[in-house]
Amino acid sequence: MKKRNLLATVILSSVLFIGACSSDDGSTTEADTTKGSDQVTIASIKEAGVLKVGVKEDVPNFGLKNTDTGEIEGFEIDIARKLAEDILGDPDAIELTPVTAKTRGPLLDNGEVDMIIATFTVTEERKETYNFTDAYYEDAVGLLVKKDKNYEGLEDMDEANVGVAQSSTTSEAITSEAEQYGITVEFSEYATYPEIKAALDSGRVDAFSVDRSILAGYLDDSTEILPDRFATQDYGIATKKTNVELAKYANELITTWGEDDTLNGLISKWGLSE
Amino acid sequence: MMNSIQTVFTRPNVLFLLDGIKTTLLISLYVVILSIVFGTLLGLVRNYEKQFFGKLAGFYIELFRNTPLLLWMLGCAFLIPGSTILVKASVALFLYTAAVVAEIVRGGLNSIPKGQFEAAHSQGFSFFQTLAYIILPQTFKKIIPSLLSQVITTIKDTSFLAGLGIMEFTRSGQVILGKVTKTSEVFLIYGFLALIYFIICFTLSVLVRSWHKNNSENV
Repeated sequence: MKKRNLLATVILSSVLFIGACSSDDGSTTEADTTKGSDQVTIASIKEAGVLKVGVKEDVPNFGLKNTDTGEIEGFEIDIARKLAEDILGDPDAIELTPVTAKTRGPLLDNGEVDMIIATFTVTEERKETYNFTDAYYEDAVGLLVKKDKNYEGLEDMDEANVGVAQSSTTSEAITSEAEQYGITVEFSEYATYPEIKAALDSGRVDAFSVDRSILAGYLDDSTEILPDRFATQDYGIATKKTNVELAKYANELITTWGEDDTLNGLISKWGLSE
Repeated sequence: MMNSIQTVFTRPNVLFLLDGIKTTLLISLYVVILSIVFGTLLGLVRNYEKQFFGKLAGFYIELFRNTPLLLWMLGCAFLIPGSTILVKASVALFLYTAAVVAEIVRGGLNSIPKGQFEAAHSQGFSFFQTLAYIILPQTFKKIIPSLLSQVITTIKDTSFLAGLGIMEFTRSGQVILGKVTKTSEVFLIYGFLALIYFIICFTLSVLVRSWHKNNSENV
């Protein structure tokens, strides 16, 4: 009798669990197709009077929380402000939501933010899930290594261990480049950039690889950035797949700002030009 | 090293970290209180009601106890509509902790001799009066040590919220990490985080243990 109860519980819980998973999928597709009113449009943003943007709060120069004022500051925040100024006529009409690489996708999908401006690299894969604007910033992956290793480039780094950030596209970029040289490299993933730097300093990894704009902040007397530049990465503004109008509008603005040097001005303001 | 201390522990940074500690402690407080209340209820229902509600409580407890906490946090944060991500993820922590507390309470309930129910009944106590005046007070006295370790676990579990970008203590440390570039500064911040968690949990443990000791001597 007891055994049967146990069996019943196990079966019931697995059924419920699977049910929960599949109903989850069902509800998102339903939301995508039927809830037309949930769409974020320029008009609905104007009605709300505020632009909700997901940003990073731990990436220097792009989006970093100022512990003194409690405000998030950076290049991407300035873009968000400019967008709010254009749409709503007020650069302060923004609501910033801090996101991480884990949360930015779901927050966009469940409508908690209108758009993501958070060092989100545009890839073909991601384009199938989200709308991306053209790049507001182009970066390339670089390698920070110890000077005493005497590396001259990725070519010399056969079987080296490269430290990269979790959920980033860096490792793919390096792997494809390494294949061209006929060498292999290993990767170790870390949660934050300073941890990778710590791993480099202690010798657990041979190189710290991330976008060059970020690497520059970690350069010191014992390290150097190799000349290699791989896989240019485009940072784009992401919007939910169904919000086509908003995506188009943002893209037009980014194009205009790219042409009239507004973006370049902001890039040098935040020390991001190489 | 002195240099690192000066760059990391500036006045704004320290205030920012203190704010993180405050958030961690507040979340822990709410979660612990609510989950002890709800957990006790679940434990009682599972132990004394053998029909539908008992089975339901049993199912709930086993489901939460045997699945990862982070999964529930992500699920609650992104699938429940409305409210802030902080509240929604804390609800997941509360639901999870309640399931663990329920099992602790049930263990305590089972350690009370069954004869006490019969004795109380013969004196005219109803079932609920017996629970409230006789069984539960003894149960709580017995389970305090295991409850305490669950409270400490819960305080440490709040650090899972950092992964969701909630500005509790661990996350505030991560934001400060965003600015530092030297290895010694990284270790300094992690060391500080560990130290504060240790101080909070160890102090709590010493306080509860001494209170429990004094209290059980009086009985």
